[in-house]
Amino acid sequence: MRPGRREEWLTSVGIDVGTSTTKMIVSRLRIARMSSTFALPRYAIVERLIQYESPVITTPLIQDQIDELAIGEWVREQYLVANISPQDVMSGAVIFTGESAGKSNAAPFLQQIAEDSGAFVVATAGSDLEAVLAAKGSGAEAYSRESKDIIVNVDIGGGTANAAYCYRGNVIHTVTYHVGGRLIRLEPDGRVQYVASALEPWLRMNAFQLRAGERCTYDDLRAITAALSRSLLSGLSGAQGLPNGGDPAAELLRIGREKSRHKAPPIYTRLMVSGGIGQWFYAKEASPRSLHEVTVHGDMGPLLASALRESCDQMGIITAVPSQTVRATVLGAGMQSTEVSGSTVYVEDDILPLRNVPIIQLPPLDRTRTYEQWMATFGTFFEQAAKWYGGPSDSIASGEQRSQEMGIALPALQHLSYKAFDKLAEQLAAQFRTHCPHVETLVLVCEQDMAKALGHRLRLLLQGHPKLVCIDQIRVTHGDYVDIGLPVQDRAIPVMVKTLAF
Amino acid sequence: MKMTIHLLGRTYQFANLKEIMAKANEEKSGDQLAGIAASDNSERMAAKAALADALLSDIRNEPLLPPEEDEVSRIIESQVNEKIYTEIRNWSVAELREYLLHPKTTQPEIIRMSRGLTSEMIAAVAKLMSNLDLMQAASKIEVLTHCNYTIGQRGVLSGRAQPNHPTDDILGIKAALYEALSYGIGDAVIGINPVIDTTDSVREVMKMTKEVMQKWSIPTQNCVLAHVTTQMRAIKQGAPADMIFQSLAGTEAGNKAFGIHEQLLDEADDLIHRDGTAAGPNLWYFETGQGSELSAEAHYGIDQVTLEARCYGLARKYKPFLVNTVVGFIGPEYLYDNKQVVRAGLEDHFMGKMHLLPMGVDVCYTNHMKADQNDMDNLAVLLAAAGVNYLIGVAMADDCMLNYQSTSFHDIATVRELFGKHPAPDFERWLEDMGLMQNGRLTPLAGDPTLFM
Amino acid sequence: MNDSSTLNWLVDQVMKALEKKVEDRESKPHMIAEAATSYEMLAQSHSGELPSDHSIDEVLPHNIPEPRWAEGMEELLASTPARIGVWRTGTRPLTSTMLALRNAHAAAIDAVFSEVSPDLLQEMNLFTVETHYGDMETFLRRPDKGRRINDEGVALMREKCVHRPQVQIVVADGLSANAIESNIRDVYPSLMNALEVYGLSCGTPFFVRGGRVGCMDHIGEILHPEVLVLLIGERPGLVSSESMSAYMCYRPHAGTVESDRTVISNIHRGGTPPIEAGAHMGTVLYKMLEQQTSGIKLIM
Repeated sequence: MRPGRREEWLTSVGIDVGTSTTKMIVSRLRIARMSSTFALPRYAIVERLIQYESPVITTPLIQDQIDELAIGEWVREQYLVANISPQDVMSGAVIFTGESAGKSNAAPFLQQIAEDSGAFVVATAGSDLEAVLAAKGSGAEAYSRESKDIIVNVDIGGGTANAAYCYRGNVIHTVTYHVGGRLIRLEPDGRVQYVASALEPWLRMNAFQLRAGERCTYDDLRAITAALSRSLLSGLSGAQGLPNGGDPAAELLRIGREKSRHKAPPIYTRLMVSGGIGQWFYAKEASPRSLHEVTVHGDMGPLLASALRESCDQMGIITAVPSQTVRATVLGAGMQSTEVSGSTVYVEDDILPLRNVPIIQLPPLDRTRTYEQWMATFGTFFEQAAKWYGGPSDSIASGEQRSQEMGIALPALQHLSYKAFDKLAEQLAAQFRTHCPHVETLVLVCEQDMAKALGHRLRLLLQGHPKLVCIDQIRVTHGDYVDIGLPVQDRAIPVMVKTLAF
Repeated sequence: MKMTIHLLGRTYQFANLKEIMAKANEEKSGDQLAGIAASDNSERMAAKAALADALLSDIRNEPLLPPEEDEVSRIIESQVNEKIYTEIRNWSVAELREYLLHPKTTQPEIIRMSRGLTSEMIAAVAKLMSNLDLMQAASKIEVLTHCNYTIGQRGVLSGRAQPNHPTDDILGIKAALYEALSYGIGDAVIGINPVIDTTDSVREVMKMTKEVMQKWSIPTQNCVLAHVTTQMRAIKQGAPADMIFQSLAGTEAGNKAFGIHEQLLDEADDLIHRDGTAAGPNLWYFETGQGSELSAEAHYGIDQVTLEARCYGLARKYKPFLVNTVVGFIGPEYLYDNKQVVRAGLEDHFMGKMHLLPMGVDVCYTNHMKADQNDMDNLAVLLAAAGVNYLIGVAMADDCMLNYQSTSFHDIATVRELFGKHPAPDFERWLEDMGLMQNGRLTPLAGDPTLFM
Repeated sequence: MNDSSTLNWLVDQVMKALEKKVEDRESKPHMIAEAATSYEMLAQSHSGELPSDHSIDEVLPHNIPEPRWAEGMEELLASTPARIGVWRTGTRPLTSTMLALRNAHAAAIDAVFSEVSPDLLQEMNLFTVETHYGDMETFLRRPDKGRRINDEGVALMREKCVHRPQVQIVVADGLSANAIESNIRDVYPSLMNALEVYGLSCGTPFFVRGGRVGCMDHIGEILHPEVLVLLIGERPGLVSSESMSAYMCYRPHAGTVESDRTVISNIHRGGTPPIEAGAHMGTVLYKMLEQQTSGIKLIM
């Protein structure tokens, strides 16, 4: 392995471009050995410090489209203020939250910002990941570690409400709704400027008449925000314990409802609200009493926050105070998006860093089949994988890489004898050679600690083609993308796992 | 000093005090390994006879390891109160034994006399004592120490919660700690032997133990038994440590093998006084054990009982809150079987108490010794009778990190009941508040670690 | 190439994976914590060929009749191999707990007094030399005897072994023959793979009966390897009597100090994974040769 960086501090950035606001943080992550000198080396991120927090700015738009140039310029300015350069940045994530990710120009632009921000910054979007990052950033995950109960963190910004259910320090469920402050934008006089199309089915079902260009009253808006709050809370609670049962309209707001059926969320006992709406939710000031007071930002945000607070009171929902509101997601992105691989790994020279390696997962080894039967499925698996990796670029996240890198996730296997291990390696090598000769780099991500041994065996079996990277103790799933950075302290390899982008 | 002894029709000639001290020991495989043990029982008795007649001044005048050559010897020498020593310098070791066992000799007399004794004199008298002698003499000495809270009272048997984990997993350590607390164990200290020697890891464990103590208002003290230098780095980085730990050997060379020397201990002492989190004045935790000097090839032909006493002479300088001998940890080449472990446990406890140290004992064995859990039961009872300050509490006596067996939470609770002993007073009140103890007995709630979740 | 069936298959895979993830999370939140190794599993003899258990490692059940928080108890049990949640009768443990402890102790003692089977040595193609250990009692009382190979053994080494090899592998029973029986089949081939990948050549491996760690030095004096790795049975604990260590040293010789040895310990299926340990040893040996040192001076 080529010697990597010796420093134990990683600089990481988080950039969060939301529907209404944009912010950035620079953090420093310290990687240290967390293993005995008599054990296999293991490194972990042991300290996370904030080095710089940008002001929260209004996301610059040009006719409902994000102003790429303006954001790019702003990020460059912030790098100057923070006194860092893109070369210093070893990890981090750029996130397009909420509605902004739905904008047509988001994908290539996001990629561009990520690249400009430092070679190792991940571009990402995806409401599950955002929900998880926000729960980390808001402190909900840490809160749940000290509690016996489930806490749900709902990060509400301009366009979406990303909810993550945390239990004993882990996110166990996520769900996202089209609920946000800027879904309805209006003038101080009540003239409606914009109604998000995602909101329309819900408005219709609730018999609200609201169209861009028309006027609405304070009372209209109050009714809408109150109903929206109830729908959200109903969705979050799975309708348990709510008066008059659940709200059927809530399902109309759920993001991804076309792709997956609704699953009852876990029962939570505490609610935490982060994001821009969270800031108002916990504010001491009285609720806005007139359209003038509501529209300080030209949208319904303040009223939505107070309506949500009132709904919580009415429904007897107990709330908890987050440690961060508007910056929760960006903190999560900047400080919590990086993991460290197990330290006994196999990496051939000059391969790292790797970006956007798409992961496909070998089927799990469960009780329904024997080890031999399981390995017998590899043929079909590699055959299909070869088609995918050989396909046109539009099936892969960002256009440029076609089939050069193949990422395979190995499921947990429990204890393997060497004989069983050897059969596994032989089978992997044989099927790979048969079906994927065009793949230049094979990245294996093992859940358990076996990467170095597997790398060695495959290297001997495959004789130098493809190039090999074998890392472990990272959990990835089918459809994830991973970035693998240069080793820190020679052996700790930073890995960023992204769930399905775009 | 008589170097020639006629016994049972044979004549024994000894070259020097070092030889007499070694051969007067009860049988220990470690002395045999070092090639200094008596060759048979008669020779052992001859050596005991010679030692019985030796004067305390003989012992002081013939240092086994001269102070000019060894800093532990210097520390022991510097602690002697010359006035008190002068009063007893012409006593024989036999007379010292009888004085200690005399009913008129009580706590105040022994405390005063202790200041005139060197560690070698204390080792010498131990060699002339039977197991019951060692227990009776030790039971006269009450050593109270205070870190955050006081332990050591007569009628108190404390326990160290030792919730070790093979990878220092924070949750795993907590799990065993909760179990300990639920059995009323942890009043001596919450003390973890870490497997990871890094400052970061040690700091995390210190922080966690302190958080648990604060969350449940537990009247005790914490300690992470890493190397002293690692603890110092963690403390300098702000980690909360009530006391500081180190293993000790009885010679300067032995301590060098442990990576310590007097100056380093002085620095650590200064640091824990300035930056430690406890009230004090007792802010050290020391561990010792017969055989460590031989294993480090730093024994100078001195027997392992005497070397152990010298550890206590060194420990005394730093007024520790806790000292324990890890009696059967080091293996059968030093203590071969149950009989040797029991003897060593009682010797060490007595010698420590004679140094006015707050002695606990890690009643323990490894799996290649001829000993088992029944032998540990026996020794724990003997030590409780002798007034030991604390025992080590490990879940079911099986330490999953250090790979040896000690005494369990159940064992300490049982010994308390058998002897009518209590946890330290503050800790007992806390147990009562938690509903875990009533009238000195565990309540039906005890034994459920989820009480602390 | 990218036909719709492939896409469907892919989508299907993603959905299955996602659904499984969610199900796992929802049905057993307490299993999120890393499952610990159970005593029972460890007590089972190593079955050789295939993974003996594909399920999530089972955790010993607790005996507490009415824990304050049952889910929490599961979380605690999963977090440590320590014997917790055992409950009591009065102040004494329950009978099953007592017997489990005694079982583990019996296994540990038997491991000390057992011998590595000739079949295994033959299978691994290892010839045997002995130290001066004599008998078991002497072996335990006199560690020095286990540090010297006897005259016959020295002659055998001289006759059979490659002299001045780059890497010398030695296997010794130490304090647990079980450790060798359970791990050598997994560690050894993985170590050989690693040596091949690093392009290192290996001398003639053999087995030492009655060996202690210090026998490395004596072997070093006779065969003069550049680096030596000794795979040796550790003092057995109750969690595992199968634990093995690897001691590695650059140019071992009489008078080598302990701090010159690099050690990987706790190698067994519930501790340091044997196959990965073998691979890591290759890296350690490679770095020793590169830096011409070992122990605390070695920069990993």
